[in-house]
Amino acid sequence: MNAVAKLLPSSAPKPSAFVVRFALMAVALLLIAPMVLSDFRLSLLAKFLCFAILAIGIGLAWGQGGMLVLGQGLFFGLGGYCMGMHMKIVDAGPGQLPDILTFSGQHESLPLLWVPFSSAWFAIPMAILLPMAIAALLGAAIFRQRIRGAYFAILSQALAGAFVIVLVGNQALTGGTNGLTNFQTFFGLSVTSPSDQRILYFVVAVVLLVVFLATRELALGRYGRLLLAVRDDEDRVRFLGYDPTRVKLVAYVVAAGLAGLAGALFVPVVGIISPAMLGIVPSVEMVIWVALGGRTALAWAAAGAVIVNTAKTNISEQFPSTWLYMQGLLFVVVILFLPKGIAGAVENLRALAARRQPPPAISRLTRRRPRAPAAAEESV
Amino acid sequence: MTELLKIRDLVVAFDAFHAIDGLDLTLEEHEVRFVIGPNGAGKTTLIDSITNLVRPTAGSILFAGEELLGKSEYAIVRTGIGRTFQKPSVFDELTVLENVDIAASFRLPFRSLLRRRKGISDEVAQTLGSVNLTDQSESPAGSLSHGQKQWLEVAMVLVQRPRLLLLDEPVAGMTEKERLHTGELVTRIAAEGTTVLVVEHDMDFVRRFAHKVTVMHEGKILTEGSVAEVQSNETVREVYLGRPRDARGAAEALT
Amino acid sequence: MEVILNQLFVGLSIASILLLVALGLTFTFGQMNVINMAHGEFIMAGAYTTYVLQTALGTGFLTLSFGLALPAAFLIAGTLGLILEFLVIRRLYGRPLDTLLVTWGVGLMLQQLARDLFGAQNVNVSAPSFLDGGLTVAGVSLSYSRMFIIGVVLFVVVAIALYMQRTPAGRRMRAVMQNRPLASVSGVRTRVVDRTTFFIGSGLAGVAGVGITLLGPVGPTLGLAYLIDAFLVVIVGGLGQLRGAILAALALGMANSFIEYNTSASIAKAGVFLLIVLFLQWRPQGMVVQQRRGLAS
Repeated sequence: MNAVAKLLPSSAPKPSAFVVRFALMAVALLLIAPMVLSDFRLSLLAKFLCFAILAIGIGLAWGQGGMLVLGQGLFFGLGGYCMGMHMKIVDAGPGQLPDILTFSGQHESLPLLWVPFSSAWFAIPMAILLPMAIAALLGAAIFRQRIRGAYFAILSQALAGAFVIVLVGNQALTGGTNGLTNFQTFFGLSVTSPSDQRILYFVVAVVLLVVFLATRELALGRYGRLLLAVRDDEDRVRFLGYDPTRVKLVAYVVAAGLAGLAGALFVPVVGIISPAMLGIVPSVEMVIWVALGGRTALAWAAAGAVIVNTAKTNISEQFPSTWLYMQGLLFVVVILFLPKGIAGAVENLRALAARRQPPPAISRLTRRRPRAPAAAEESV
Repeated sequence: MTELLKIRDLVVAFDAFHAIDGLDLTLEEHEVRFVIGPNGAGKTTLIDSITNLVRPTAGSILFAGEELLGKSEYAIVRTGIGRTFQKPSVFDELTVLENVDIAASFRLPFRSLLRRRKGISDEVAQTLGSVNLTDQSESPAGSLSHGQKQWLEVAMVLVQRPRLLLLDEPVAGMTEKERLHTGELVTRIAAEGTTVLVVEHDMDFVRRFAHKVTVMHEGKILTEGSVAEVQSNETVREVYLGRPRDARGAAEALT
Repeated sequence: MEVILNQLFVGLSIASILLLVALGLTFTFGQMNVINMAHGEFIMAGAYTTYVLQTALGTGFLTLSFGLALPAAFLIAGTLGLILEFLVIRRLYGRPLDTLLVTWGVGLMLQQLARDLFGAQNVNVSAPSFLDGGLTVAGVSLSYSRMFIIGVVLFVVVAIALYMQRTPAGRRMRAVMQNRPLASVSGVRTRVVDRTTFFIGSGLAGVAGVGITLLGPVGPTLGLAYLIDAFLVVIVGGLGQLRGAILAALALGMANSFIEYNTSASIAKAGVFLLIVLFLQWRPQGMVVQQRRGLAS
């Protein structure tokens, strides 16, 4: 309770709407959810909150920056595998080989690729930095050549597809289609114990709140405005003296880093990372979370991840085949009829409610003013 | 006076068609130059090739002694050249203030862009005032009228304090009052020391505000001189009157 | 030498399937700016059409059912394309990224439909007997079924080229692709042209599906692997370019075949991707670029 109270500035008589909303969100996540949810449900929520971290990244890159990132599974997977390799090595104990590596019978000692991940000081930063580095390389190559829109989307998707094929193809090193699983401990916590899972939930929830605040700050800064400008007219930005490549790169790299962070948290929470979670299909699925929540609103993007995954878990538990139709339908309905997602619908409802009241603001009128007809270009 | 912009033997070719065909143009520092010419004369292409929106096939464009050809668009802007577009292009989703603020921040180190804007800088406020948009500063740019958008675009360029300002048909689609105001604005900008190149169709506007005029025709410079000299030039008359499409306008403009 | 010949043949057969899938994509992308992710499911529809015909006619008429499958798959996939265009895509013209997501959703539903109709397990389609075996040239065995696929693709490419160059409908299609507003004011009914393009492009995916049944079992998610590679062909070839698509399909097919021979399938995939990104540094707009005058802005 104290933590929340601190967020509300005590001196300010009227905290801004955002502070109130953020405090409510924090209370819901840190207080109410752990109180009302069973161990099982809370652990599920922790998984969804990992997805929410990733969704905030998509919201930044796609919603604010206009880059349809269709290959976030790649970065999520890199983060997950970095963390997973470390946990496997720790579980095996000093000098022992992780079970995954003994199955193939190819390895006498820890393979070179695995060695540095023995250290948490390497594994954890790498879970975030490796995705960022790959995004920076791919992004620089693509944006510099002004390859954008669908081209960028397809290329980012193809890279995620290639990554999965590499993972599966090198079974002896990566565990193949099974991925990494059967984890025991995470920094002294037992990943199978319900009480330790509760601690993990709090870790994920706090990380999510911090990530949200930081990303929001970025989006509200001058950089955020510039990113919107690039989204709406990249060429115009160039003639203001900015290099749009750089502007886009930052958002793409941040999104990749958040996906890596989400993957790294996902592994101890869920206890598995496998190619099936990061290929082309799951990567596109991640985008629909954000589309449903609202691509231009970061908080709603995060909420979208939780909403879609809650629905998926509940519906596919009972009617497995129905969920796939519903998921398909979700893409169609959201994009066709709710292009701004739930956030847009809420906004419309608010506007509707406001219209019933006496006309409040002139600003609303000016906002609605129809554009002046494009005047004749030639006036000789 | 020193030469600020020196264009030599410029050629811009689209396949066999030469939009600009061996053009030479020199602008002195602090000069205001109007460029006129019939449709398709290559006026906008001239501005486009200075700012690298189209890539010239051959020639040289020196700005303050520095070759611009081969530089990227944003690097050219950073050398001190600002431009506007025929179709006003502002960022509709940002507020008027944000539009100008982004433009004003282009020399800030990238890191400091990550922070939030604190208040409004004097420069931004002043520039907004000079284009009469102070009252609209919190409205989204998308809600402005056509003429206001054009002013906003001018403000975005002005706030960057360019040494050379390229205006592409700044009064197209403006009301009479707006034209007058724009003309005064251009005069004032020039008086403050900015070199201005205006491409304009509207001969009435040119006559009122131009001192030195360059006439382009088929990708070349036809003649240069004062408004009166250009108006009395026989070839210029022919060029305008010889093309039925422009005949009416030219006849009105030149008599 | 034998190795090279063999890999050339494999590369050519990969390229021909890729080309068949990519043709429809490059035309709908180039002409209408639509990214159709359900295109993969049209391939699947073509493959299941073969399966259904074969099951219905029995194993005694494999040649007949296979022969019927080619036109039937073209019509069925083409019709699916028309329905998709009518129900969804026409609402989204001018929003290419949104067409991508919506058609992805449609694809998911079609996949699930296939699972409900034909089961989640893969089904096998038997090749007609005249495609059994192969021809041995210079010590290399060239299988008849792969040769058949190459033959079908050659036929399709020639037919498309003739259609675009020689028929009024094809000229209208090129006109719309090059300058939609101009074509529209010149009296071309762009809506009709769009639907025709969509029908043909989707139909070709169906034909590709028939060919793919010769290479392996048929399953609900058959289309996806081909779809992404075909999109890469479009990107490398250049939008809406028949010649570009042919060249790019050949390049990607050969690159795949030769890298895979020297390393492994997974390295080939990553290697080809790297080559594509490098290639785009050199030619960001692809191999063949539509010449446009920069004046019309």
